[in-house]
Amino acid sequence: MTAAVADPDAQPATPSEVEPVPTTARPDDPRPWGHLPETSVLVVTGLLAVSLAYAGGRAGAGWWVDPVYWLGQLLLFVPPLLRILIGRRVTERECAGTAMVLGSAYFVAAWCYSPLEFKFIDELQNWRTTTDIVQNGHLFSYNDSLPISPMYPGLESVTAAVVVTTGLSVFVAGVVVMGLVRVVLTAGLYLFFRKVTSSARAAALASILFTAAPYYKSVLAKFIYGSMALPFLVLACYAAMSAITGPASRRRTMTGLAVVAIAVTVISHHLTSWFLTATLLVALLVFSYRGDRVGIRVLSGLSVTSGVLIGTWILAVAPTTPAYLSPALTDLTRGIAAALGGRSQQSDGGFVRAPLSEALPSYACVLVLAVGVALSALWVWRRHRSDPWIVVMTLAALGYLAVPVIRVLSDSGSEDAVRAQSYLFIAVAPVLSLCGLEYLRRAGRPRWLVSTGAVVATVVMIGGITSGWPPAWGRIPADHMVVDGYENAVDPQGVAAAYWVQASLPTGQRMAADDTNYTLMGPYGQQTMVSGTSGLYRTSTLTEADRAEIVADRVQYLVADRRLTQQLPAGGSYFPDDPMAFRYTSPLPLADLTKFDRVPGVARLFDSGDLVIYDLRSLDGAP
Amino acid sequence: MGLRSRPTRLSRRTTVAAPVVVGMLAGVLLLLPLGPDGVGGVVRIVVGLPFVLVLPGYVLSRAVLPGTGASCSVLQRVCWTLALDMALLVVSALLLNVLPNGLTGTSWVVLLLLVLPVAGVVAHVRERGPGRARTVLLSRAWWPTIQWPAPRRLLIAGATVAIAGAAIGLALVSATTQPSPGFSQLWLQPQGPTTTAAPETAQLGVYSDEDATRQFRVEVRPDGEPTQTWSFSLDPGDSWQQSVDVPGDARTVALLFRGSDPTPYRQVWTSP
Repeated sequence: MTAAVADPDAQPATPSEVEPVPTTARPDDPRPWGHLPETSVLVVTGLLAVSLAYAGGRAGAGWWVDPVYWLGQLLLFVPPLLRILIGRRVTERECAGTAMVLGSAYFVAAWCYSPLEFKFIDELQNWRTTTDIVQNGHLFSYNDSLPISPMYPGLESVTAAVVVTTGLSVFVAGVVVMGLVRVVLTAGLYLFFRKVTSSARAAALASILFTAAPYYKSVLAKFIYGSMALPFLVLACYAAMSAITGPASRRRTMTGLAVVAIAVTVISHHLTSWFLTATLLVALLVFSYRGDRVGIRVLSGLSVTSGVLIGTWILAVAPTTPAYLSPALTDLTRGIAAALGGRSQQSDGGFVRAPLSEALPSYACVLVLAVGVALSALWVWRRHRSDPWIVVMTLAALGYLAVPVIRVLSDSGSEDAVRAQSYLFIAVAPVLSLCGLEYLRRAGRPRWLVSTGAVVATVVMIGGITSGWPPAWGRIPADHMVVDGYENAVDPQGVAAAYWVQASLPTGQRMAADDTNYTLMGPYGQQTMVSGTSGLYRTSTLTEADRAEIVADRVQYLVADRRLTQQLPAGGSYFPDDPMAFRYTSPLPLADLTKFDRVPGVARLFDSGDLVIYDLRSLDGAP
Repeated sequence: MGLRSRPTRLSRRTTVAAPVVVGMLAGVLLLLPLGPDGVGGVVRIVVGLPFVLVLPGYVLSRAVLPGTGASCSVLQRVCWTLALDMALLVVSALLLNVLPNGLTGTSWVVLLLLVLPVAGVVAHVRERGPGRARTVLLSRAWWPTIQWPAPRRLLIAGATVAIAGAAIGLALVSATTQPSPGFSQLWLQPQGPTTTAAPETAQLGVYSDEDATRQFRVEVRPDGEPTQTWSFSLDPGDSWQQSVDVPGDARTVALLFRGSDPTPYRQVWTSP
């Protein structure tokens, strides 16, 4: 009898000290799934609480929304955690089932946030690319709202195939595809963790810990091209490991699967494929150090394949990739140089702008993980340094120690650090789980220590939410349009205006707008959005500088949203590339937005109450 | 302890051939003019989703990783089925992109119809290799026995599904019924070439997304010309459009009034 979810290739290179989990279930086992049904009930109850909190937010309900949301998050996370930590007898099926149930529940919770339409800026951009493929029947159309997106059309290709064969909308097809992507990610992570740790319990715990990654509960469940690539990064690593540690008869098969996964990663997302190549190179270094011939052969082949595919793709399809990614690297290196020179550059400083209730768990999360990774590295060095894959994962996990540095030094440190954690958690989670469970077992699993471990893991989960996306002001859907509120800023009036623009104006007109309308008029309106035009909205009369800016940026249309005069920006800035970001103390004066009504030569094309669109083309000297 | 039935066994031929045959039938069905709405639309969704997202990947996974249990666990099968399916679509998109027709519904269906039997034959051959399980899918290797769950288990499973369904339903209902302030759009869009040349006509339009049927009045006031007026009512989601003459050398103002309110509700104008 073979267990339904047993990994057949599992060959523990180093016998794990984690309590062994029976990998086979007896035919007469009355509970082959253990306590998974009971755990599932608690998890979906948490899901219901989160959905209830979202519904309360939409209805403008009062004080109970936030507590119910956090109760839901605790119910989602803690019962599976406790079951895996405390359960005396957890079967292989229960471990795998727990990981799958939790991953699926978090996906549904993310969908509940915006169940009728894409609202997140990246989703809208990828919606545009998908719509272009559906309408044109070809890849690589130009997408002005995110020019790099059509060059990495993995997610969009799959979604477009569903749209044209089923007739579903891009939104529904996208949700279905992302749901399946989540299944692959969760299953792939479990299988990979299972192989790395040689323990079902550690794999399940690692899968649970991975859900604490800051972007896991939102961004990784959204219709974004990077979210599609991540599971294939995991599968590439898993297949590579299977090729090396599995039976020789399956080496070619698993190597071939690794190549397929690498190819999909390269086609789907630039940064993820670079992380994948880096991981393969680190693994190659470790296996070279150990003189493992099979490992060296497989990993060198896969590393070269990955590098060649990335290079070929950039040269043939996506030549703008280095230029697209270079600002983040330049920003970081500039920050490091400034720090070394005793200076400091303008940084968003990680959590500095968050309220104390958000900052504390965020800092605690970073501290716990940094200390945990460091201690785990020592543990691995003492007990597992003969296991190359655990060493590879530990080396990758040590990358987490760079996260606080990135936060402080990088100009957009919070976002860069949080993005990096989506990759780093693939290594952090199994290393912490393995070492933590082994330590618990050696200490005799005292109740106080297990409880402490559960509390620490929960702090990491809470910190992942407070330091991830959405921020506190957008965690619950709002009952009104929130200026610069990202998903909470997308309302029917804005969407309708963008569709009017698409239907009424030629595509590709150069348009100035605030943050929210910038994200709508590009993907939905199909216009070329011009950033750096905030000066046009900051004077009560049209100055010569304004005219010069209109000419220099060749601005043809301008969107004025009067709600900018009623609210401070929730995200800190009213406009893209806003030099006044985080320094606003009052909303914009109404006269600054209505000044175009008084300028000869400016046509007022469109009016929907809050939104007015001006035609600047007849302005003297205008393009 | 629940009732225990005899394990169901399906031959490997069946478990490879059945998805291929079902997929082929589904593909042929999708090539028929089913139409976007009504029963045809539902059939396209019900048949199209597994045809595109599951069946090719499953057959491919059987070709690449034949066998069950010791050869490929359920979790691996699920994972590689979906992953290989997506990989097939991603790589195939590059291929279809170079064809004149591109990535149309027909080209996707034809391509998958070609892949399914080829992968099925490979899977069938590889399943016959030495050491492969003679039975798969619903054999003992996958399910120890098909047991009727105890009533308590059934209750828990039912509760899980019901609670998850409630969460989903709540999200849908609350988002669908979320109150938002009504609005109306007014536009005056010059027609013709998109240059700065003065237009002769313009498209005047109103779109209502108010909370109920509303009475509107539109006044167009070209400089020095008599005022034109239109009155009409619009249901939520309806629009009204009118082509109007606009002098190229003077400003034309259009005002929208709602109900009996004498204050202009919306206003737009052209530039001379």
